[in-house]
Amino acid sequence: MTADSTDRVGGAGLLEMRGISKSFGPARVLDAVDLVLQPGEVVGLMGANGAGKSTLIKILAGVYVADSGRISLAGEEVDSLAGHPDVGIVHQDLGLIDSQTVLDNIRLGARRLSWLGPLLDRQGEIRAAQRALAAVDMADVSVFERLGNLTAGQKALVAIARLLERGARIVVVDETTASLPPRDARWFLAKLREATARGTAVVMVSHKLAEIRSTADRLVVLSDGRVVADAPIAELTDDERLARLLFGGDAEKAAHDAVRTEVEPGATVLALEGVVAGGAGPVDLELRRGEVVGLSGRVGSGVHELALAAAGMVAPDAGRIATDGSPRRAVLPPQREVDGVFAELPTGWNMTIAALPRWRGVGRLLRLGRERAAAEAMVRRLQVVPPDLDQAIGSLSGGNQQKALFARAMLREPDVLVLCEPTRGVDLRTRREIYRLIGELKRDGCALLVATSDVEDALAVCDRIGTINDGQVSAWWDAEQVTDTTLAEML
Amino acid sequence: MKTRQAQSETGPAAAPADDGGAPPRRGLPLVPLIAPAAFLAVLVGYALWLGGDFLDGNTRILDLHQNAPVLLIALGLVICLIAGQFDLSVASMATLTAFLSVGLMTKQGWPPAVALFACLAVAVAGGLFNALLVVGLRVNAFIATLGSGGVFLGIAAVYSDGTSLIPDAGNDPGTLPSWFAGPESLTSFQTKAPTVVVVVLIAVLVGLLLLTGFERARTSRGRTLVAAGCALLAAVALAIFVLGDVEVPWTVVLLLGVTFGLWVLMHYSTLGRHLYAVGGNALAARLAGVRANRSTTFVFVMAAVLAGLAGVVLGGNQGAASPGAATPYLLPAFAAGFLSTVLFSDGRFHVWGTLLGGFLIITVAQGLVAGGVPFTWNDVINGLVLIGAVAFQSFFSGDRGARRSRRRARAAEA
Repeated sequence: MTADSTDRVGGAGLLEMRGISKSFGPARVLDAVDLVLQPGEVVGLMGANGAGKSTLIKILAGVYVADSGRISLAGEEVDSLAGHPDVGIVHQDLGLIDSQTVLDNIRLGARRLSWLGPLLDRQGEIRAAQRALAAVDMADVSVFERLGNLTAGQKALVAIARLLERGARIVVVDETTASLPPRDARWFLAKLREATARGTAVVMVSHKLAEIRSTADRLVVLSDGRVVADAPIAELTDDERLARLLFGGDAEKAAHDAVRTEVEPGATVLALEGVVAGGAGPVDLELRRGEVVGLSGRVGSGVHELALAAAGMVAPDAGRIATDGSPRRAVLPPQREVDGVFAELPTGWNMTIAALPRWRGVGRLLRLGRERAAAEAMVRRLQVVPPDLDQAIGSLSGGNQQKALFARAMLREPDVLVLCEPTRGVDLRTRREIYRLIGELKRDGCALLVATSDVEDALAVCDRIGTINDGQVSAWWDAEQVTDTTLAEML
Repeated sequence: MKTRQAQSETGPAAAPADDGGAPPRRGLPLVPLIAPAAFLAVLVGYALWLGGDFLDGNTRILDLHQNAPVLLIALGLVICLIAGQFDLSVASMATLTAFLSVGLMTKQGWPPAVALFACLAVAVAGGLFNALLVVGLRVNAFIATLGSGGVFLGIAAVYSDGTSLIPDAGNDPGTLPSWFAGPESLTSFQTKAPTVVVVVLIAVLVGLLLLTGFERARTSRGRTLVAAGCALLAAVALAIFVLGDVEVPWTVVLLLGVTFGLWVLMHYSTLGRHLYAVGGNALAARLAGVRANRSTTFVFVMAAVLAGLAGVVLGGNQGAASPGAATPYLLPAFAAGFLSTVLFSDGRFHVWGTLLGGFLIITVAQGLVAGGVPFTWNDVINGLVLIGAVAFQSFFSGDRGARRSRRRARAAEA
């Protein structure tokens, strides 16, 4: 085995993955992917949604086993990375407990350090936690501090310290910075960079090119399950080409064109006047029939709260929402697992819940046959799989759940449709279908507001895009004039 | 139940996966068979053990009659459970209205209609009180209703000076009307509903099965099966009623009527669907435009009103009230509610499932008593049934089942 593993990139890496493939059913999610990590190296991993990033990370974490390909860890071949403490992952939500101390968070789930039988070796644990903090250059923070008192950047670093203390030599940072305020994100990345001086390798998954540029040594770009670029950052100077690689280029343009059929905007149905919500604003915004307006901002920037306020689902902290008459409003919630689906209820009920009065008959009782027919028509139109209205929606894949939620909003026959992260976690095909549906709704005279942290979404469907930075709409862009890179750099 | 079997044959077949994968299946394909199988097993098992007398219709109807208050409480409770709430105060509310219904008519000498209206008002107020705690003050429902249950039971004790309330015909300013308590009354087993009511009842119930069956079965073969099953069921019911000389007391008519009403509410009304939604995911329900607080208030009032009705039935039945009379009803009521998630409908709480679940528990307990097991074992059985139902449900349709069927769905999709 050692003979094969030394054929490239200057000798045996800390981790070498060669020809990794993974399929789910007939869908090939990863196709002969190579990923080599050297000690002390920061590798940026980018790719559009559905490109295979999360599958690759799950193989790294040992959650999935690759169908084919070889993995060697420090020169030793392994079947799967499951059970190896050498690879650690930090997700966006960090997985820490605010109400506990830094010490307890670092020791959480670790092997018990003790020579005292059933009793904990408290002193030993304190020393171990202090060592862990020192390893990420955070020795100035007391291990007895409550985690909740730390800044967002410090918390993220505690999560890293926890992995290092567990013996991780490879740390995967999975969009951890997406929910950090910009200053914390920069601080965190600088500290992370320093921590690699001790030989830790970092895989950094991010949608932000600027961040990768400033932190990573090398960039790997995945597209449709293949590595389409793998080069040192210094060599990647052509932003336009990179953006095309990242955002799928021509394929996306097709969807874009389909949606961008010219529709003359009609009357204003809803207007935000100085609205403040979720720490963002004040925002002034008019929604007109036959127009798609985008609000683009990071998760946690307040973009979703503004959208929900526009949809009439939460009261704004300040300002006023003026409507022309009483337009019917529907919303696609930002996090379908949390605020979207009723996981245990049938798919059909999930679809019709927001539009039930449509099927009321004698004595205000529901005409179930008509309800069912309407839901079935939607299932066919959106190609929900499996097309079974009675199955609990929780058993559907994420993309199909998203379609069902889209159906819920459409069945309401809204005048104003507010879409939060319309393509979150859906594959490329579904994404295109959703873009197409947005185009159809637009033609039918619906006023749409798309609140998204996904640059692709904003570019593909919106006529006007407002970008939210530090709680303010920093600029309004006419979609025709925006390029991928300008927007990507802004976020 | 016959219709459910028919559905399981026609349902998935009517909806083949168009991507060439495996046809979609539910987490537990045998679910529709659980209720009939459970009843069959219990009845046949007991018949073999105790002899054919156990199958006597009138005895089983007597079980239903005696347990009408438990089942009414369970029906209110299941509405609460559907909306994702808990109500531990229902048994105490039933005790309170048992005291009030008997006491207000006799010791206070109020006209019966006024006394019953007062009971209704107390129940509504109690439900609103619970809703205020849970919705308004955001107290966890478990704690809120544990506390309010103490309050209701306490008020009953204060009202009766902590002793049993027994009407004293000579000295009380009022008496219990003969339609309310006593052998001639509507709450007595002796007073049977006329034949026409029973026939109408059977017709309505079979019609209901036919309706739900037709909603689902869309192939003509499926409809034929449903229709045949319903006809068979109607024939069996009528045969039992006519040939078995079974008579139905008014309490059982009330029980079936209430269940029917609740089923219409849950199945055919916007409110019912909203309750399921709020119970499924309150946040998502709000974002779908459901007024979750209103729904939650409704379920607490509903649970309290049905518990109040249970107390009134209990008071009439006994013609007296004793401290904590309804307290032992809480456990079997919960057991019946949770049994409905197993018996009937794919992991969801269900109105008819609760009635059947309650009936099943009662039958099991009665059989043991008839077989010589001391009645003191009842709560052991109730407790085990409650735990068993919940464990069964979470084992098969919880994480495991969901994950399994999700995997299947993915395979079908790909």
